[in-house]
Amino acid sequence: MIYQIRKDDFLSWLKKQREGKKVLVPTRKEEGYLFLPWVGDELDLREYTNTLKPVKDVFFPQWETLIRYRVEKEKSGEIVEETSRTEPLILFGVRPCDAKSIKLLDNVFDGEKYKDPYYCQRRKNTLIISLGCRELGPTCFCQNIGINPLSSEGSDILLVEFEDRYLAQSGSDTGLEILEQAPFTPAESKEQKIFDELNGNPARLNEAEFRSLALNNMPDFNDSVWEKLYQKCLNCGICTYLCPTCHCFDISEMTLDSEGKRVRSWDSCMYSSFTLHGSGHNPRPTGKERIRQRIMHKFNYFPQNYGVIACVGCGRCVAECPVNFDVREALKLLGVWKDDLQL
Amino acid sequence: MTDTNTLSKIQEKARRLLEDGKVEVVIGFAAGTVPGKSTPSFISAKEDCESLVWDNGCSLNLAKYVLKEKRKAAIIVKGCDSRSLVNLITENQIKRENLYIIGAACPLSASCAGCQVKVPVIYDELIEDGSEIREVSTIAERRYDDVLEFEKLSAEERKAYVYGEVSKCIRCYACRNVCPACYCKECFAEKSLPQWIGKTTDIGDNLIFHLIRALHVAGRCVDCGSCQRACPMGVNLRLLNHKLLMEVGSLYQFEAGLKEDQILPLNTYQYDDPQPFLAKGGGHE
Ligand code: SF4
Ligand code: SF4
Ligand code: SF4
Ligand code: SF4
Repeated sequence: MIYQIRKDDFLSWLKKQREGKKVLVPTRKEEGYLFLPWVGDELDLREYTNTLKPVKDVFFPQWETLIRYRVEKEKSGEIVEETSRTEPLILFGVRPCDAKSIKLLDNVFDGEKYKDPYYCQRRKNTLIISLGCRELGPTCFCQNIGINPLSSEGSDILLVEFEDRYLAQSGSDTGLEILEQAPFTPAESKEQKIFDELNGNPARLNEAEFRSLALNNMPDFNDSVWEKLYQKCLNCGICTYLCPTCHCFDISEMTLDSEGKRVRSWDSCMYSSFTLHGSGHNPRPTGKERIRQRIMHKFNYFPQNYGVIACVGCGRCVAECPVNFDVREALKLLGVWKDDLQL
Repeated sequence: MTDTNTLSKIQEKARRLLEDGKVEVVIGFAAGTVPGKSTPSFISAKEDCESLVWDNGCSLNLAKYVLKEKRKAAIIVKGCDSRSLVNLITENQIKRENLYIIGAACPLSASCAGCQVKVPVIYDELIEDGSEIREVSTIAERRYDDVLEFEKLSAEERKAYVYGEVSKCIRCYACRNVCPACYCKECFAEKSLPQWIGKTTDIGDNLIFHLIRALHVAGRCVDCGSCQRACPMGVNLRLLNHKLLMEVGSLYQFEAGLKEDQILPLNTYQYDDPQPFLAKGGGHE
């Protein structure tokens, strides 16, 4: 079922949500668009393709305090759990690739085996309203790996801009409940048709097809092809920190005198300190093993573990890498990119 | 932009070096996949030399790659890359004789403000294109407009600006990793036993990271701008770099990476070194 809403009505509705909820919207900064709290002013989405930082930051922040502790003389240490600081949140303008990335992260932080209370709490507290892509950005390649830029997967509500209106589709029960009420109205059959047409076969390759390519064609761990890949990589954290699906973290202690806190922060498989053992040994001693880890994790281990590729084709890593390491080229070299697709 | 003549001379030179077995690899640039970015390329087959480019996208400082390269290598350098090589030689990080340096004038159409060294200062072969070759002795002491403007601000405004810049940082360390002057095997920023600085992006941790990064490259930074270009968050790293370049210039009449026999002022110590911060009387007021 497709719904619709006039743009003005939507903005008034969103403005009203600010009573009691924090609303984050893509906000234009000098360095690019970032999700920032909305003060209710006019939205400037003219050049918006996607945010510079991925939306994972909202659920799995770059760093957070897990617990605090205090030690006093002649007393046993006292642990103070960090109380939740999440608040009801609405994210507006998430791109479908990033919405999908949150679904992927759910496997890790809200899975059957492990539940991360901090992450789960934020997930529960957040409504995701995504904005479908009528046009792709210069480094986007979602369609090449089976992701639909007009999909509602991972969103509560998907909006697709259409002249003076948004067409809306629900991606969750919560989303549906909202769409069933004013100011949203059911779309007429004409709009329904437009939506279906826009949505008709946008992915050039389906995800299952790409996944089986990745699982079957990925070269061996010791294949010499890995030698060719890594030379130009500088092992910085850009491609992993800006990736919406990368989720490695590190836990460290920050103490001062008798008080301290345990902090979780993003980590990157591209750093030389990643998996560095206390003995000084590192099983991934050079850039070769690190690039291999990054690619294998996304395109091989993750699909093996969770049945889905851990890349959503947002292209941030391609756009921001200082040495233009292009994951599409890497996949092509590895035989995991369909030959007939142009870069 | 460079003329095709310069490029074909570069390609020809690279091809000959590989053909004659003088080097095993040529480090240069090939066309990238993103507009405006050429990509570092490691060429070991002479047929591949045709893929070399020398254009506006070649802004990265390639000297960084020489640190890791174990093969006998040739490297194609512009002015600032060559100055970084000079630094690495004077700091005993690389051996001059292991390297064949192909020099060419900087191909960037908009060169960095105040750049005086577009043509490499060391090379085995210089691909001449008529660009002006500066004698080291004619290079004037740097005055950076961004620093001079910044210094006019009030203390509060300066603090607000620096805090604003530094708080954008996501600590991806790309600025460190692209920099040829940053080659420590263990970097304070990642040390964990013991941990030197917090792994958060809290303003305190970020400030410490930025101040130490800048101070560690003081007197060694050649102002190639690679750090700032690499930064995904648009942090103005060059302001701090420029400030330190000016300080080193006025305190030591020194500019890094110009001569192979120069002694880096912050790497040496003499008993009678002036200590202006102590000369003022030291201690707190
Ligand atoms: S691929 Fe690029 S962004 Fe990623 S670590 Fe290497 S240099 Fe950095
Ligand atoms: S690997 Fe690159 S393209 Fe894929 S999701 Fe991560 S940042 Fe986006
Ligand atoms: S600090 Fe920046 S400008 Fe200076 S040498 Fe390093 S990368 Fe170049
Ligand atoms: S490159 Fe930019 S964001 Fe990354 S650590 Fe350096 S200043 Fe911070």
